[in-house]
Amino acid sequence: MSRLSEKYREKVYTEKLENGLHVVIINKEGYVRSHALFMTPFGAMKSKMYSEDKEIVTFKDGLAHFLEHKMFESKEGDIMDRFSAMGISANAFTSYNETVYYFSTSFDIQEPLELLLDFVQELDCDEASVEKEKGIIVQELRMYAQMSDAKFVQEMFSSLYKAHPLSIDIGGSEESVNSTTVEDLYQCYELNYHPQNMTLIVVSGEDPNKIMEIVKNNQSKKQFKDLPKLEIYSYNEPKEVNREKYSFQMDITQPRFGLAFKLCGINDDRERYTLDLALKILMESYFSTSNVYVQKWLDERLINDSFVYDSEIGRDYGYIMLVSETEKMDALKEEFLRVCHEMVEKGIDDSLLSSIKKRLYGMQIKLMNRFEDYAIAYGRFYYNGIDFFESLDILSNITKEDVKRSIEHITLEHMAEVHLLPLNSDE
Amino acid sequence: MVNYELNNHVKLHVIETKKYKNTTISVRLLLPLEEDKASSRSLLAMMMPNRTKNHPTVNALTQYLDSNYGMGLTMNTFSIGSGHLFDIQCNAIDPFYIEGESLLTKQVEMLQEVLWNPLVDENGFFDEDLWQEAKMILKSKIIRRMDDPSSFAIDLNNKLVGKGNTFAISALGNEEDVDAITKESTKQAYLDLLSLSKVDVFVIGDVCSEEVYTLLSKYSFSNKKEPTPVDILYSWNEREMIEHEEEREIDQSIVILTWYTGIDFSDPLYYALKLGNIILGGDSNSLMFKKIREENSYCYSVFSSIYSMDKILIGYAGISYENKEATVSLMKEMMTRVQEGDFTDQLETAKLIYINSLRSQCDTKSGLLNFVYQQDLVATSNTLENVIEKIQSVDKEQVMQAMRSCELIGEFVLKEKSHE
Repeated sequence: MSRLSEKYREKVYTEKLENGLHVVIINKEGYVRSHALFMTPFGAMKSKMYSEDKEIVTFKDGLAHFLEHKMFESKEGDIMDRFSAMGISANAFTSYNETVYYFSTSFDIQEPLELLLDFVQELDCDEASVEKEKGIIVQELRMYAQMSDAKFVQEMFSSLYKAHPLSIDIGGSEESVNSTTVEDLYQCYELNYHPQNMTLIVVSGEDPNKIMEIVKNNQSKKQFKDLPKLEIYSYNEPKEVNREKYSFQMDITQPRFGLAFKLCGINDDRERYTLDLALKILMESYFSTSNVYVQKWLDERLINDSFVYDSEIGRDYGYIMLVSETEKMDALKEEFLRVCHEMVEKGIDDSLLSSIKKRLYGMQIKLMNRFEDYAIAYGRFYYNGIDFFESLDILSNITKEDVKRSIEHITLEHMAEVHLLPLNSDE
Repeated sequence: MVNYELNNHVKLHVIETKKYKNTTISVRLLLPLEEDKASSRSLLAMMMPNRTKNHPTVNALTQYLDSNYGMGLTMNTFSIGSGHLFDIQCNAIDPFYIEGESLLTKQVEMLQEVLWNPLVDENGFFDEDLWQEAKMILKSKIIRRMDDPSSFAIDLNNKLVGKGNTFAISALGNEEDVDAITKESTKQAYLDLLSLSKVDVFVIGDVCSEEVYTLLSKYSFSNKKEPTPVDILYSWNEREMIEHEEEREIDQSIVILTWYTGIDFSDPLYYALKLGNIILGGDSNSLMFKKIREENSYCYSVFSSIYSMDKILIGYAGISYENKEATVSLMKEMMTRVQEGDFTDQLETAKLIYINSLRSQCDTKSGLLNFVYQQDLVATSNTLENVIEKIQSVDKEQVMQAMRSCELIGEFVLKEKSHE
């Protein structure tokens, strides 16, 4: 077991087991709680992969999410019931980048931890249960479809991307859900759920040696087939956006406007993280209240408190996004464009760089109080090839030059706008 | 926890702990929830932490907070029973992580600034631009809740079943009320907040309680009058059964059943009611979850929930309208099952779930603060251990008794648009 230094007053123990499982135990003295998550880097974004024979393996839209639902079944009955019998409400989620199964407890960790490992390492469902689940998932899709925030972001992604799986809802569609078979689920499971590519993270006040023993004992009793080698599929995503302008209506009162720019991805892990972070800092310097523009736009009633902004650089995708409720879409678009151009031309000044770095540093320190956020952040950094604590060092060392390099990565050429309007609007 | 009396009716509670990486100061001000004043008072939460005399622009305030490693400053407003609660919080990371400089004094100064140095003119009226902007934002928040089908359904349901009672009052107020807010009413709301509210200050982090007391003693509420008494637990006026259905252009219908329980946080049967709620619909092991979602696949989201100070229990499900009758029927049937004791292992499971939840809650800063504050508000001195004992001592008969007190007072449906 390796043990990190106490620079951030954190004791972290990591080990890669014989079967390839990556185990991380973050010891939090003084706490009674434990939070454990078991994650696979298989999410909605891996809709296609190359097999060893270079054949394309395609997963139906929403399959990662459907599989997440079915993992909670077993021969011994509903897994949720078994957690409930221990006083625990276990749960799971699927994102574009991962699927995560987790629980929290203030009681002894052994039994639930073993159950977590056991149920995620075995899929046990049949055709009847798959059919039954379809009705539930369809209701879930409809629930999200009428949440205007979630719907709007999905339409932004669909406007940016044509071939890339970001253009598809994480849950798929009612059609793809209804066409899912038990064979689809088993194939997906066998190709993507294997200790070699999975991570267990436990944030706990309990003795880390005890926790590691539990995990090792559990894993030593199991045999796993070799993991088939799959390669990342390269989506032929054009540089241009899929839809330059898209408008839709919902039963809402306040119209919403979104503007997004499509960027390229970066394959190298450290370079990607550095430029992604530098871009985020740059965005903060123009679009947060660190800058006077937000107040100007509020004064002019171009935006309200719903205004949000985001940027991300992934391995094979990237974007900048700006969204707000507004009655003045044309004027807001003009302002967004003006400031984005200014951002690219002028970059960031030294004092803003320093103050925003301090803010982000403070946020990362506070995040370590929140077990759930801490564990998921740790896992996400790991799958992006960065150590969590190394990320804090990278943050401290970000320079104006790094921000300049992130600007070189931006192109404002490929732009998409989305309008959400109340029903029966004229546009 | 160490308790002090600061000057003038203000209580200070200090929790010394090295568990967290930051120190939080939470100033909680409690007034009675009054419908005609709710909007004016909620407006304060948009203004006070936004700009102050010494930080007269948002930009200036942001730069100050950022320079102190992202010092957090928030003001939120909630209803809690018949109380209107304002929670102003300032948190800052510990000196260990920032080359040894403690930010505690700056946190206290920031809160003083927010409370006693708002951006007002010589007549005590809030800055015009700030005030207009706050009204716009408050209205946007209210409208946004109305636009979201789930929030809309819950808010409208509560308004209808609670008609004539405190339960119907929204802490944010209504859209029409926001338009009617005047500068005078806003000024008065601010003066009332500082002079009439019950004030509790919580400090939690790696601090020394005596030092905190000394520091905060300098910033007491010098004009503080005796607080207006707020008994957050209240009695209901007459209730009548409400049935309501309306349609919106949405993809999924929402069903809400409301029961008046007659049991609130102070009642000896409170913990029995909480356990009964878990059995009914508080967890994935619950009767509603099993029957309505797992067995019949009618929904993804289904649960029951208690309003602890309001004597209310609701059941909620997001479904296709074609399954409305079946869902309503099943919800009622599951309630009957609990009332009649048709459950076996679920009670012991519910106790474990509840106790686990409380222990986990009290392991977090916000959870611990909310726990101790709630105990203080209803004048009990229960520790977590006391509460756990009370939960463990609940028996099946008590659960049945608590659930039998539930009187159905509402059936609400927000119907998806028909696509025939």
